[in-house]
Amino acid sequence: MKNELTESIIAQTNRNFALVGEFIAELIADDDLQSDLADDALLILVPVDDLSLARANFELALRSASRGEKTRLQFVGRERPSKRSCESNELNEFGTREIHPTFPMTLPPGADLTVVYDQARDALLVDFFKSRRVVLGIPVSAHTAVRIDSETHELVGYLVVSFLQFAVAQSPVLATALRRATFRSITESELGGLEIRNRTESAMSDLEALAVVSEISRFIA
Amino acid sequence: MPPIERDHRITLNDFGDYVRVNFTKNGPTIIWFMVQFEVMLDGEPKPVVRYDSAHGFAHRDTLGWDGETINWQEMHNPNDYRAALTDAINDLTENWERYRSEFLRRGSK
Repeated sequence: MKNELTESIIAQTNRNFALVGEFIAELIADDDLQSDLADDALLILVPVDDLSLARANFELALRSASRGEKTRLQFVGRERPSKRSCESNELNEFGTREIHPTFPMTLPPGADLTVVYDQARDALLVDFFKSRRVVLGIPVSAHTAVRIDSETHELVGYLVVSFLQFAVAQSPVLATALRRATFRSITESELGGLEIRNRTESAMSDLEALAVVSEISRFIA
Repeated sequence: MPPIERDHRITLNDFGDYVRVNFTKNGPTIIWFMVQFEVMLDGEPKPVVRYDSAHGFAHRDTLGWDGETINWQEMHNPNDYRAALTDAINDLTENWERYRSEFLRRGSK
């Protein structure tokens, strides 16, 4: 990577320095915090109140871990549990090597499965828990992201962008998902910090229109 | 309760730049500290600026390409290490970009 500072790198670094200040204040105030954390691990801080930075840092952690570096994520800004950490099931930090999004331990009832198609963004969202969970979105390819529960690391659902333009073109069977879908905008909380940059062209090009007419004609014949 | 030491490297960005935070506290009192901003160049960390309480007072060292101190300055709270630790992070938050670019300029000469 070139060593030129881009606006996004500058913004991320500024916000992370501010986060370091918060983390140090937490370290000073709480003797239990981090007591079992190896000193040689690279820490990557995850703010609980800034989803876009949380997502960017989460990706940073995954890249760092994939290079074989010992990497740990640390939540910052989280209210400390009233009981001692050893008696609590809550996790404030975890190693990225331990993060493997898993399917839920118990399958949710079918009625809880939510499918949303956002026409303006050409995005399909699948949620196993009726959008009840607070999620963090993690891109896994140019067109797909997994949505995980930041507490349990369970897979909560998926997001597919360029759904009709790309995904359905690649795998037409995916179009059947629309039979189950509710047609509405996907909310920010459902996106879990993900940003969808490319919007679908609102108007169909002449070439695309001709292709569709041609395909319908072939179907009728 | 015996003094507790903390030593963490915290990644800041995609370059792999990080800040190392090392301190020893006795209860709420900081009895020693060191904060060092390091940039990652070709996979190798290079310290740029260091704040610490060595020599008995809080000060900032500006570092050269080979880690040598080329300039130092007493901090605003030289004897209150808890305040100095906070000041160090605040100074980095405001000036890291300048410290980084000046360091790279020194190295390229």
